[in-house]
Amino acid sequence: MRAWLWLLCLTGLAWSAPGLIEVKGGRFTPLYSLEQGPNQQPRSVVVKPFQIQSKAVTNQDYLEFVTENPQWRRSRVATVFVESNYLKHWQSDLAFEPGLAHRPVVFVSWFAARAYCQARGLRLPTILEWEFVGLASERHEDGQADRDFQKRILDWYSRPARLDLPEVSDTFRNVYGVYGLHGVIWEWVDDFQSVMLSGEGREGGGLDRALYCAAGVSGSANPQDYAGYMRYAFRSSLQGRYCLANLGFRCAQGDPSTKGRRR
Amino acid sequence: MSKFAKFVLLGLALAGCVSAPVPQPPQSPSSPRLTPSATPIELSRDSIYHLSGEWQDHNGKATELRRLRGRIRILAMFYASCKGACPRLIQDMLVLEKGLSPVARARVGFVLVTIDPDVDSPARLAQVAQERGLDLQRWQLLRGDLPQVQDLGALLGFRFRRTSATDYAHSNLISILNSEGELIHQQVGLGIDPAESLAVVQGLLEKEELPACCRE
Amino acid sequence: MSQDRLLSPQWLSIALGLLLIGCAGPKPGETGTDTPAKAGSSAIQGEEVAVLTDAPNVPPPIERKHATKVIVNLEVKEAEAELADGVKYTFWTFGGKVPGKFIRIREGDFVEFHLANHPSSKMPHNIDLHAVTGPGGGAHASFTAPGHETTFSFAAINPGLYVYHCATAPVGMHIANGMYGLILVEPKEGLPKVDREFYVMQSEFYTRGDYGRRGLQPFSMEKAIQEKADYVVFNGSVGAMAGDNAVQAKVGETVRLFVGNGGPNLVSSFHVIGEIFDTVYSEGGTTKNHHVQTTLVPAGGSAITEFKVEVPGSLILVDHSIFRAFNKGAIGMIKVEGEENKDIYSGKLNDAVYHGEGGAIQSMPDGKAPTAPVAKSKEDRIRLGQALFKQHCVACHLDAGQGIPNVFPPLAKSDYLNADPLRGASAVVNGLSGKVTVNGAVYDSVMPKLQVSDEEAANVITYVLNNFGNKGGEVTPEQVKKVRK
Repeated sequence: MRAWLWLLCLTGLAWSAPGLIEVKGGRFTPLYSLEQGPNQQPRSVVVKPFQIQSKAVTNQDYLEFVTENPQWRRSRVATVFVESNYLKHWQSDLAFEPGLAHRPVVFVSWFAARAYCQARGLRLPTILEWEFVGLASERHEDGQADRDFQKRILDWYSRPARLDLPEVSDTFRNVYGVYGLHGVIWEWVDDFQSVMLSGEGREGGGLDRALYCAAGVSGSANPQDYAGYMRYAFRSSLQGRYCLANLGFRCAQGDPSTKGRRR
Repeated sequence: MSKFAKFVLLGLALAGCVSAPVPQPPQSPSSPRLTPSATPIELSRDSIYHLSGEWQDHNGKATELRRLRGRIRILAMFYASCKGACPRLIQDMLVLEKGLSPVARARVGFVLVTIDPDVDSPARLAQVAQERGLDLQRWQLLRGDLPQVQDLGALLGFRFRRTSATDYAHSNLISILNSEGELIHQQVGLGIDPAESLAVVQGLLEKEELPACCRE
Repeated sequence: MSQDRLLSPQWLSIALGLLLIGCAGPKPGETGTDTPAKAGSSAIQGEEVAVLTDAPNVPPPIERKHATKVIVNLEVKEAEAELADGVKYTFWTFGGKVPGKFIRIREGDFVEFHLANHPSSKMPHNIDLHAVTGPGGGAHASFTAPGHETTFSFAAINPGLYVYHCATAPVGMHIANGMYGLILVEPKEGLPKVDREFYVMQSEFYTRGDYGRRGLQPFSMEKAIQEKADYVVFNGSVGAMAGDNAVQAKVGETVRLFVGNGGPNLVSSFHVIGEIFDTVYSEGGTTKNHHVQTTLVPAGGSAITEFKVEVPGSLILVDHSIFRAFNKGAIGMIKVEGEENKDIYSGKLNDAVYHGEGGAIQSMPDGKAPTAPVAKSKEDRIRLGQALFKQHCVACHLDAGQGIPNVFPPLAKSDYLNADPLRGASAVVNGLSGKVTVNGAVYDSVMPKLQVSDEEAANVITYVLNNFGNKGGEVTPEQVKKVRK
């Protein structure tokens, strides 16, 4: 009897977990890696299985969060955590145009995104998790060889930011069932600060020794991965307070540690 | 137990499940929230000390960032096993300390925060202080969990990442905070001429001598 | 907000810190030159905001005889505009247009450079000015996220005409999308006075479709790597300096052209048909050459050419790698008005019959750009549709149209399509989500809408209808237009 009640409780709780998809993890070589092999090429890493929300956090989702957490409302938030254009597209602390409800929330800072995920018992995905699940095309877990897919990603990067973002279900869906990882918005990651490109595209990784203490210049895995370059360049231009027109987020959970291996 | 009672129990249990709220984690120390202000004057909205969370100092004593309020602070993030840059960074801070007049020195605090909390225990931090001859009347070394370190780093524009089991790549950054914890100035790089930073500290000291009404 | 203002002195300090690092001394490989402090030192008087202009205009020559602090405000904006007739492209610009604004300063000036990145930009950007001596030419210090502004300073130690461009990874793509311009550092004594000065910048564009293919053309990384340019143009688009957009001069005037080459790949063989360059400042430096017909402008480099116009008519600017001029758009024009001067050029004096041996008649290709092909028949549609099918549909529906069970419906022998082909057209131009039943199986997936024109949609649906065992028939652009939401 008691077991049955517990089962019902657990099912209820699981059902209220916000749209998480299981990603079984695996080995891949990210464009820039934590560690380098002898010729300064990034080592492959193993990403452990994790869960990630199938859709980006929407304005409606974020409204629930600020309703429950008044210290994150636009008029009250500590300005050290957000820029002046925090939730600029909303009409007031708790209101926005109805059409925005199911579209990704933007103009939120990293601190705000982190607080949201924490309030849901989750966290932001790490760069490696995001890049891993981002490899997938509509049909394959590793879409790197699919030139048409890579072209479409590049196409999106070459168009200016749209203010009319599509609804989160109305976007590119990859083989895992995760929507909108490409072609909609940039997304916050938990460890964006670990990207330390100088922004100078010609130094192949560009760690300026006087600015950063590091063992050496980090090389990149695949010089053909232009979309990857752009994502890393974008992340390294960010500060935690930034609120941008086309930067949103989704949450994840799981063990974020990864394992490398000597080649 | 009677059938009726069982039904009531089942109903209550289900009601409990259905109304279960979205799982709330235990109050995580690193979630940035506005904690109720202990002092009568509300903390500036631009202050870094809005970061709540428990830290330990080099004595192992529990503390919060809010405790740093009330004094100008010169702060850097580092790790104890860092061979190259961090010793030079600490040296640059010592140069700043020496460059202040004795009167000024009494009103300025120096803070080192470790980015390697698993390795840098309070005891290890105390050891660093001793090795470098840091005057613990003015210097504090702090240790907090990784999410808090990430939060603090993000507020200061400090970037870091692990490069091996023991090492990190990180920014070389010395930050100057006023007594409200607002970031006023940063010295970027190593071996930088202290004149500009000293001028900033001097300016802050003069400004903070003015009564509250007449500051900017 | 105070926090935003707060960050500006912070960034300025960081930038100045970087400048100090950069100026620490000559690096290995660099020849030791005067230290920056000397060039800029006590001579700086006053402050002014730089006047910036769009091509083909140039800011006025500098009159002052002393160095000053110059404030440059440059905004990066990603904007869609016309590359050629009917061809649109998303340009990444310095100042709203390609090429970027012309900056004119004087040797010894101290520049405070503000780079703003418009909030609508998708990408972060920065700037590398070839006039800057310092890390990355300013690229490190100016790395700017969308909706932000960064500031850095430099001393203009060397005179000359310099290219500037964006240096954010992937650099080739940023340059290829239009992120380049010219900065002129006038020598202390100034340049000799001329009557007209113009700004001309050559560059290439690499598009998914061939030259002239209408519609919004995306950038093609493949073609850029292979250096197979579709468009080679002056001042950012085909015809930007021709016809009604030609620049003017009068007989007897001296003309100076500030010529830049943004690349990203091709070197220019710059020539003005009907003129000889009296003076060429080779590669934008101080060495002068005279009586030059065609001068090389390196990619990422410049040249200054001067000539006096003696007779009226149209002077045609070309890249003398001549197929670029006549087939890819590298043509500009200077219209010269005034009195004829028969002593210098008489025009045609006589035309008589000549009986020679053999000799086929040569015809000049006309310079008009070919228009995009439009289907004139069902066969045309099928043919045009095949390329589109390969480009857009094969990824999901596979190359025999068989689809993937439970994931993507088949196009082969598709009862859904054959019953009403306009449903297919609607899926293409509007997207399709939710449950559909095709050949007895239920599919519940999402098809994003394709960025194709009515013509293209009609062509691809007609192709599918006439292949893979479907019933045949034709769909017209007018029908597609009706179902487009």
